[in-house]
Amino acid sequence: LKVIKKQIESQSEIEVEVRYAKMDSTVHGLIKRIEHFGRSIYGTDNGRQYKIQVGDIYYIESVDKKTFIYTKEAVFRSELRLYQLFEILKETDFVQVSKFCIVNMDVMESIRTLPGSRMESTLINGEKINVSRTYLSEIKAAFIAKEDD
Amino acid sequence: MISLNRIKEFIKKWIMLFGLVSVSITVIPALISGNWEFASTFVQIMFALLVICLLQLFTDKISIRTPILKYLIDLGMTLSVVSFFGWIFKWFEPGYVWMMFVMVIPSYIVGAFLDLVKVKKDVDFINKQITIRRKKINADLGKNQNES
Repeated sequence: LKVIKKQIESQSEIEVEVRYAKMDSTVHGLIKRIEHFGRSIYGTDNGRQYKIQVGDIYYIESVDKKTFIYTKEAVFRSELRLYQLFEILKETDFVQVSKFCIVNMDVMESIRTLPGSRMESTLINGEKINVSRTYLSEIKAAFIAKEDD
Repeated sequence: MISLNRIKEFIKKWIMLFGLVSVSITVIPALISGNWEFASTFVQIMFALLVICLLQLFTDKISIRTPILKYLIDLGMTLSVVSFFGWIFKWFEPGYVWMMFVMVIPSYIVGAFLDLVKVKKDVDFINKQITIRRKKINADLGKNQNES
């Protein structure tokens, strides 16, 4: 991969041109990552509003009809409902793992069944989140869909 | 060596074929001759199964936090549907209602066991995909670090 950087002072926004000989999964994946780069949502913490990069989000959870956005080190509150955020993040690498939680597939470390037929997913920071069996086929489908990216 | 998937597909195909042929040899002659005596039981069972499947679609959609509770709700629902249809269509002789439990509970346990096997298989598949994904991400990160 060759990266050509060019500074043009009159340029108003960053422009990326991808040149390739053949469209394959690597090129397709790269384009998708570039397209998702810079996508952000807003969250509040202690009354201040923050712009959160989608890639920085670990998971989003709904507790008592309140929506919380979890990044590696911080937790933000969102005014949007979980389903609204999921709609925004549909084209990205997020998957719904329960009625109350959507997770960034990039931060999932593993998934396992627990006694009593419960399930949980461990994230790369060691955090554990509940996974609902109802959503298992959707998680599987999401991984299959992203397999070619 | 025949894989488990192929055995599963074979059994699925066999049972589906059995269902289709059973329906064909009972319902089609009944439609032609107008004599529903033999076919009516099949139609009743089909209808009861349709109701059970529709109700299961509903319980699958609602999120029940403890899966054991979901199994119990599903079993209770199945027993209720079977007893309701049994009562309407007189499937059980008076004094033999316990037969319903003997028929439904083993079938349900087999179904629940197959469900557990499927869950385990899905979990294994997802974990495999996660590992592949993590390897890709780590390789990309390594590449980026080397380039910078």
